[in-house]
Amino acid sequence: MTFDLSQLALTAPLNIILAGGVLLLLLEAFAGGRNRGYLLGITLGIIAAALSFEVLAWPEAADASSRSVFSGMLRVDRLSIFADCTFLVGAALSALLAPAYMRERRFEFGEFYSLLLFGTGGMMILGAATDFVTVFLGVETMSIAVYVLTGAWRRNPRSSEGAMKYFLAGAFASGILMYGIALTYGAVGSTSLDVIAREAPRVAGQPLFIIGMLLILVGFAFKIAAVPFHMWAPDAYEGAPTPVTAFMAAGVKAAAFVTLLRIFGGAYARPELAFGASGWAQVLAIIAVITMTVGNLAALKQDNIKRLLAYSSIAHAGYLLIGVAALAFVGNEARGPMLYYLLAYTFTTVGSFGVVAWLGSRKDERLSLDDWAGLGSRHPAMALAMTIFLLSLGGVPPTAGFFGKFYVFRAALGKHGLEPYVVIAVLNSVVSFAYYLRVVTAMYFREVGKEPQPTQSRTMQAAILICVLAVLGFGILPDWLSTIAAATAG
Amino acid sequence: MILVGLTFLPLLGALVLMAIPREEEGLLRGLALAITIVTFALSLPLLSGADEGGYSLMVDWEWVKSLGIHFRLGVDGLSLWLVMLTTFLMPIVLLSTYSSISKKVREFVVAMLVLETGMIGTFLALDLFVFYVFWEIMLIPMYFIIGIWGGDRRLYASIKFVLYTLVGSLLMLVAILYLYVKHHDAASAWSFSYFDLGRVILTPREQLFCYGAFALAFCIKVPLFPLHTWLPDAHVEAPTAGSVILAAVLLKFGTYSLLRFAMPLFPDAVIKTAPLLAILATIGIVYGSLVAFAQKDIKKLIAYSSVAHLAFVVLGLAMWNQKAIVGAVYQMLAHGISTGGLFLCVGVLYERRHTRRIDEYGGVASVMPKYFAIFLIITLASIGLPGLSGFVGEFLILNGSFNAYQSWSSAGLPSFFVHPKVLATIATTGVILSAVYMLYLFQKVMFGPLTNPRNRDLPDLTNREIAVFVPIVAMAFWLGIYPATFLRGIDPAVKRTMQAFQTKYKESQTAGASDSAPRLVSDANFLSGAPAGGGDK
Amino acid sequence: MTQSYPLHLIPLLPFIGAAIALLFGKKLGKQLIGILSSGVVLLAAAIATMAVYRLGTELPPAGRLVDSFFTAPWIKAGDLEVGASLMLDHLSAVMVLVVTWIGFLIHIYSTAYMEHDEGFTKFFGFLNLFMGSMLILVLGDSLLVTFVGWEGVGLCSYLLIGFWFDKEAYAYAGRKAFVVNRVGDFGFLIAIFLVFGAAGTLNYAALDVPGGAAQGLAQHHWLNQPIALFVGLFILVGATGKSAQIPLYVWLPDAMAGPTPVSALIHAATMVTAGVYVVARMHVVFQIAPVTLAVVAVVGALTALFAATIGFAQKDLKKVLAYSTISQLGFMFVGVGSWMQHQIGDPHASSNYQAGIFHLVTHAFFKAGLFLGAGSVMHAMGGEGDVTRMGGLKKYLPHTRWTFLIYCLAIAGIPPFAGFWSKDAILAGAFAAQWPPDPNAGGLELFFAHHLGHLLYGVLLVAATCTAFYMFRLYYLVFEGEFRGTDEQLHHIHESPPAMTGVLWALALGTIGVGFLGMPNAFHHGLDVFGEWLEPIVREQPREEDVKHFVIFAAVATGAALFGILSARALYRNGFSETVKSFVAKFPGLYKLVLNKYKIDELYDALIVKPLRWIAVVLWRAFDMLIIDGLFVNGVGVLATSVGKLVRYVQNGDPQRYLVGILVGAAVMVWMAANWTVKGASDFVPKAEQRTVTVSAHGAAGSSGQRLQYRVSWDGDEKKFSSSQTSPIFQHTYDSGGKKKILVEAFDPRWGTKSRESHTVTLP
Repeated sequence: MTFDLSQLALTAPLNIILAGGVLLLLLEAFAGGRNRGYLLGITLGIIAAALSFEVLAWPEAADASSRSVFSGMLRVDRLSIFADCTFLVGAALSALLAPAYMRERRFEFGEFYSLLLFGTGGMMILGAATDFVTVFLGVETMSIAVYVLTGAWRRNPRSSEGAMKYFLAGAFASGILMYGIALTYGAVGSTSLDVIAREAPRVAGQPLFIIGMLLILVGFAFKIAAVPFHMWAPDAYEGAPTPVTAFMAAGVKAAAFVTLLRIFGGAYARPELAFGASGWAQVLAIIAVITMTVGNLAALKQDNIKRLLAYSSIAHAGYLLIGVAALAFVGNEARGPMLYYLLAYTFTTVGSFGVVAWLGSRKDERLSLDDWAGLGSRHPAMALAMTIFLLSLGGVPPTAGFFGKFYVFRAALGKHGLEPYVVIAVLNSVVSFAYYLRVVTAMYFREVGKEPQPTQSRTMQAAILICVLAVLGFGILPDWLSTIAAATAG
Repeated sequence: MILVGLTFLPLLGALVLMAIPREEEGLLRGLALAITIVTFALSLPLLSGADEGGYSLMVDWEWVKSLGIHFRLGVDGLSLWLVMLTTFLMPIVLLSTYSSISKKVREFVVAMLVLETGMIGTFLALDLFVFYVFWEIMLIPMYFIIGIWGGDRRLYASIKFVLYTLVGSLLMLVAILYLYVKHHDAASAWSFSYFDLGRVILTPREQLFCYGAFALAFCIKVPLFPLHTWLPDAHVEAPTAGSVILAAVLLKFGTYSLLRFAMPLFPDAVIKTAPLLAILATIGIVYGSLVAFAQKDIKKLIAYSSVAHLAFVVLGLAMWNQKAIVGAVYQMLAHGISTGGLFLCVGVLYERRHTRRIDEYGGVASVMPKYFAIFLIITLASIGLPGLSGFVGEFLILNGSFNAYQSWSSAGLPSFFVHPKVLATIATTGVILSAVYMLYLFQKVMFGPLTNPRNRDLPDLTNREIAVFVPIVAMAFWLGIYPATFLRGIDPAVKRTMQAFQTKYKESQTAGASDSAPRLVSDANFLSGAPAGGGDK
Repeated sequence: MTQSYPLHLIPLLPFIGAAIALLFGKKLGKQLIGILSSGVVLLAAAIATMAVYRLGTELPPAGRLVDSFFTAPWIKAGDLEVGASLMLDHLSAVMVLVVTWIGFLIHIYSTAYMEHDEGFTKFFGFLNLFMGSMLILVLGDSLLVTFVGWEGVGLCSYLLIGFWFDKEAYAYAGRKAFVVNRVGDFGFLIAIFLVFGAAGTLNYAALDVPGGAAQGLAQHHWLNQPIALFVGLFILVGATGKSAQIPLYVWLPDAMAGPTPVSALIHAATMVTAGVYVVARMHVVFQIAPVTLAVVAVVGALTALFAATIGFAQKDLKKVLAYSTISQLGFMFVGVGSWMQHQIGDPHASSNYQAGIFHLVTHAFFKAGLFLGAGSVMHAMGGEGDVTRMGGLKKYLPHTRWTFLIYCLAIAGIPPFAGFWSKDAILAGAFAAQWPPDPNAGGLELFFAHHLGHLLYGVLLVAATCTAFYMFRLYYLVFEGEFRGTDEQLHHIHESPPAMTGVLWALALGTIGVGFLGMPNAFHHGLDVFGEWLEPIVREQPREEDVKHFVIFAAVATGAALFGILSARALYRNGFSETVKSFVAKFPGLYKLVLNKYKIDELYDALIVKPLRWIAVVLWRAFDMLIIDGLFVNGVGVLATSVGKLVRYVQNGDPQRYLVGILVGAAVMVWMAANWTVKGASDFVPKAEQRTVTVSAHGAAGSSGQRLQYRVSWDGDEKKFSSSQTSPIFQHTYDSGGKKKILVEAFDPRWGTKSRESHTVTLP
């Protein structure tokens, strides 16, 4: 496949985002100055532009075959488009949270926006990657940006600590991922997912190949914070500036899952790899169960809201892994549910971290549950919003979170042997209510402790409002979104 | 259509009330009361369809196309009176809270109205997805009502209430989904409709699992021994209004859903496990009564009495005899009136003395004659004295259970290792025990000398309180003196349900138990009771 | 032959009265309420009388008047259909007359007696409520309707016993009465269920085959021996509850806590006789299984004697009367329980029902009178009920004294007072009673079948003597001898107002007159009006054949009574005589025992009440709170959180651990991949046909692409493995039979991992 400029058009959104990142970097460097309010505007503009291109591209992305670009390195099909939209939305919402947060805490970190866009770019590469080389490229682009963002609040030791740990562990995981890719190349002689899919029957029996597959899985299990590769998550989530946490929780996780969809729905889709005592379906299912259980149990006694949400997001990775395992049975049918879940989760989690960011202030981050006491009577609107997010995380109808679980579990139920895992997942969500409700209890059932002094910021409130509307909207009328998500299966 | 209005009017009202400033307490209360009264008025037309066995006023709107979720409501003899009970009690309860609820009035009335929507919707839902959604919606306001306006241990109680219920309901969700997928396999169409899913014939093993999930959810709600321990905490901590709704309506969802959903969906499993259910119910009757007898807290005593009374209902259902089931449905109503009334009575005392300890009282009758009369009548109703609400249901349940053996065999069901006559006889001792603990309570609180000086000048019922109690007492008498009004609708509906059950059971027997391919009951509308279903009387 | 008649008015009127009295009593005032309540009862009585007249004149003997409250059936569910219907036949006619008229008299009496009580209107409300319920009970045309009344009267008794509820003891007495009665009701309910199960109906008319008496028992298709047996026994349980028989009599003495008119109406004349009525009402059942009647009779006889002896030592006026009531009810039970047949399976055999019912009637008169008289005495004595503080009242209370004397003579069984005729009928019946023995019965059973009657006769005779004794002990202690009370009391003593004395005389007249309705046919056929009246319901049965027998029985009974009276006179004419005092002094233990009613209450308390409470507490504390809630519910929570703590402990924040975690995770995954394949692959099943064994793998080994290799060793020897192959199916034919050990090995060349498993097959 030869290179021509038309292919740049296909990847327009990606190009816009990366270019925008560079632009913002330059602005920060030269046109800096005291007031950086306008940077947010520009960022949102860039994201909007990218989004519009995505939407325009959707119709003719129907047949995936013709959308392969850069000699098979990327494929801009509906899966990637939908995924990109998820990333962009996540990025935009996080961006909305950022300025007020940084102003309040006196770190005007201008590079924030450009790094945000670079990170998003990485995710978009991942979303479209059809070759392990681009996969690795995407992972690194995304990760490095996020490492830096995590440490963005220099004067805050926990921020730097989190970044450091995240970086160490991340680098290690990337190494494992790289090794896995190398082994695979050794076995197959190519890094292209299509080629691997084609060659799979030949190499399925080779330990080299299988180990490679598993190590690649480990690499992504780290990104989605699956147990036992999750330990970085609570520290990173807690340390990172809350908007960044939101971005990580939503975007990074989503990107990793989309890649898993591509890899295990494509390269490794062959039954002889999926099934059998050591097939990845079983491995994934087991990891899923362990992940959700550990995540939920660890969250039970958590008093720090950010760590609590971190563990909750670990648990959610567990639920999602069930969906990935379902790939083995229903093939790309499982994409729809997963993507719906990811988008719903993006809104929910960004919203919840948004409320956390809103409540805190420079002097007092208000991360302990006691600080949330009586919020219901002081700021009923925000308390209600938080309650809605928590209920959505727990999966109560009619919220987007509920339908996310609903779709994934439906994909996993039925003619194949995943029922026990679904039952365990459901029992897990009962456990999860135990700690989600602790927050609600604090907000409504307890008397005000310290008078809250939340951040005054229109943009923050806007972001949270959008999330609330999305969570409820997609919860009451899931049809539109789910149909679109289902269209990515082709 | 009217059902939709009935269901969502309270919710709309709640949204409106949220817009009203919280200082306007009087306005808020008044509006809420008005809304509930209008809701009650809206529910009256339901009575028109009471006589036929089938469903009436069906609503069927598409909700989520791709999932085959329809907003499907309908009312029949099983749900009719429970809906009426809900709409009937709501204004009464709100009226009773004028004095008891003073903080966060707006939030309270909003929660109550949302709760009402949840309850009505759950009773009317004929689409399992809609049913589940309402079921969960119902949970949240109750959680807040206990948690915000509750007593000292309200945090523990509210969380316990939610988690206990969720364990069941989420497993039920999995079962619903499973059934849903199986139906898709068989009919290659996505549907959550009660009538469609009802046609799916699962293998005995699948039935056991799914029925287990359903039954667990419902038995927790009932609550059936030994899953009952959330109830005393919830009741004791909840404010009076919460306890009333909890006891009068929420508990009924367990038994109602058991009869409406769990049993017709999985006949084979039902028959296999009926003895277990019957035994647990029998234990529950005796156990609940005895434990009630041991209580020192009025509310706890009544809470445990509910455990016993609802166990009667479960017994009736488990025996699967028309008399018994009719009695069970009737008992749900009667219990709603009597126990609801009892909690209101306790509320009256609590507002005056702020204690629920039995030994704090004594001789109240001599200072509160009106209260004495009302408390007496309601107590007797709950004891099951003929002429009052409690008797008819208990009699039908016990008589039906006692003679269940015949109808079991006639239904082609196997004879069980536990003889119905034995269980029924044990259950009948509940008649003695209920007198033991209720009269114990009544004597200790109302009779005897006025020892406690703080009871010397308890004010008697105010006119508002009398207005609260009069309808309840009236209903207690009506239910006891002229049951025909209610039985007229219940009897044919129960008959239809039982016939549907047997149709499905026979077909599931004819199939080889081994074949795993899900099949459908041949008669498309055997559940809906349309003539083809042979459901009508 | 049935005819419609507005019977429903009879219970309805008192109910209306009750409603008015309870709702508007305060406004309308005592006067009006008193008149109203008595008025409605009088009206009911009048209607009842007219109905009975209609029944007697216009209808054939077996006819009934019927009526229903509602046109629609009262309860209709499945195959159960019960109407809220009433029925008046010859049996219920008797009851209705007794209840309404005596009830009316007692209402009149109460207007005066309760005059100064502030609960006046409430009292009359309850009293009317009782009348209504009692009338429902006796008029009910089905077991269920009867049960409704049955419970209703129980309630009223509860309310009226606890009428002065500010006394703890009174309130408790009321509760005790209700609960004990509930035990009886339990039996009644079970009986109802059994009957419905067998007959599919609860309607008396449907249960009793029309003219069943004539057509014999074959007609009672719905009943068979065992069911009849159970039904009978459970009905008896119910009856013992209401009618205060052993073992459920304990509530009645305490029931005297209620106002005296209540004791007269409810706990003497009407409610407590319901048990007897129901036994007679369900005679169909007992005719199938007369053995149960033997039980009824024995219970009755024992109660009669037992209660009578307690009467000896009681000090409280009303307590004595209460025990005498229990004792007299025992007589009635013996009456309805005495089965008479001359040869086995005699189709005309029957029980001595009308004797029992007859005694019920006469007893209603004189026992009501006795209570009202006692009330009049206490009224005069300012509420004093202790006979040791009385004496010599005859000069102050002439009316009370004379009427009381008449009642005493009647209850003692002195001719020609009513008690004599009815008690004689019972005694004679008991003597003649014979219960059918099983055709192949043993000697003992035969003996009992023939001689139990004589035994009971003896017992009753003793009981009758005791009755005469303690009643006259009472009479003498109250009215004869010297006054033993305080001067203050003496100063206030006054005869009761005419409203009360009038009623006393009215009852006295009844006590004298009503007996003549039931004279034996011995002298002249047709004297036994009462018997003939009841005959169509509970067929005629033989009493003493001729004058000679009758005279003998009468003489013996009267002699016994006189003996009792005279000994009482000797001992108590002038207060407690020396003999008595010395006796008490000599046997203080015995005296105390009798005084404390043989400590039966204490016994029940220790055996039932306390243990029940104890069990309840244990169940709650130990089982509910500790095991279910503590261990399971909260236990799960604790477990979960502690695991959570553990997880967080592992994650103590130092990055090395994170890296280790990642490595370990990866390693485990690889290890799984390496070993699980063969593990999963090695599940083989050997199948043997004759001597050919096929070993094949299912599950993972079967699934494609694993590229495993398999070897088998047919004699389980590691050395002798077959050559490896890729298909997991082996076949081998042994040349010898017997037990064979087969060793199979799965080998994964990718990882060089292997797993073995061995099977044994037995070949022919």
